Amino acid sequence: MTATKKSSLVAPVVVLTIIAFAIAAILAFVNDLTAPVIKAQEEAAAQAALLEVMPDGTDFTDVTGLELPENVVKIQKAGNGAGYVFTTYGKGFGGNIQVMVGIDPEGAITGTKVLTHGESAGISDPVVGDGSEFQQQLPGVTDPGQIEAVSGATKSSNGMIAAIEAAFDALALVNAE
Amino acid sequence: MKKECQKQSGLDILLRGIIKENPVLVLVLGTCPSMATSTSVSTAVGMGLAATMVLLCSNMLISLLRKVIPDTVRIPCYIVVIAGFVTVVQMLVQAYFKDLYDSLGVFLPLIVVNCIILGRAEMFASKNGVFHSALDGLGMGLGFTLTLTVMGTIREVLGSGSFAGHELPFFSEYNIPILSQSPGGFFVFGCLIALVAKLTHGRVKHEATGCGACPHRTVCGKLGKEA
Repeated sequence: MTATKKSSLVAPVVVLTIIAFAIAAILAFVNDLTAPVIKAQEEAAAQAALLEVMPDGTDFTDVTGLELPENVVKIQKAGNGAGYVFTTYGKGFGGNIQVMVGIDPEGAITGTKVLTHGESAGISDPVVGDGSEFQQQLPGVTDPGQIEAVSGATKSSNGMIAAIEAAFDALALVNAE
Repeated sequence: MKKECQKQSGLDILLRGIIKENPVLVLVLGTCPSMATSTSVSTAVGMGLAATMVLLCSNMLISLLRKVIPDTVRIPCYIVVIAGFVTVVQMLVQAYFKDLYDSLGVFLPLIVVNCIILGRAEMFASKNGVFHSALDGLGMGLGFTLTLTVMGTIREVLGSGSFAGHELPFFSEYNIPILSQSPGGFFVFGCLIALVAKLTHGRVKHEATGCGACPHRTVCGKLGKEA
């Protein structure tokens, strides 16, 4: 009796543990295979996004040595003086919306692009979709306070506005240098 | 009532998942991803194939391990296996089929909780040999993919006026947008269930209520044992 009770406690634990280890090993293997490919893709996409956001810019370099304001991930400077591209994020409905914002030397937005988001599919398209209604109002804007949200996607709009405000904060920081 | 025996031929096992025991339209499993990814043909096919891959692999592995996994932890073990395979598929799709990855979005990792996979593991793979389990996985997966493709075609052509992204001459002007949204999805789904029920009506005899009416009666094992 004691023997069966003991083995009925040990066997399930052992089996589950072994299966979990084996699966984890398989996952580690596939991850090693695919992680570099995915990373390369993300870098290529980021490069393409840079040009989409600031079509007149070339020779982008990272701006380092600055203490980045809250919600700012990266600042890149266009080598030809076309302005700065800020990678920032704002809290949307489903987590952070990561946005690239290009701002020219006059302080006007040149373009924006949403990099990642967790917003509701379909409903948030007028805000986070490429070339969306929301984003079409942005080029030329110098004051984030004047940006209008899209009704029906208020939280997504506010998330993007927060990200754009962070970009302007970063612009102030860079200009003060 | 005599329980339908599991001594079915391989071909039988493979083919029944397509119409007779179609996982989505007859067994009514995996309806959530069906609804969500059938708005366009390319997403539907991609989803179907990804789920089929996972179904095939998990059925085979679980069948291999069926004598080793103790009954008390069988659900956690199945889930670990299924989640493992879904993650593998997810990584591969993200690396090599980025467009599909973007269009599937959250529904790719949600394949883990796709009822078809856990359902077949519990109902079939845990009680049958590897070869038959593989055929079952393949058949069910094909049925799933086929259903998704049909739904995707109807919803994309009639709802958005395109097919696999290519605009169609007549339908791009005259279409029914609601078909691309949730209510339309349910409507198409209901019509397809009715269609398949009509098609299998004469060939699959069953009762009106109780265990005999359940779509899962051939594999559940409880038929005939109800109080």
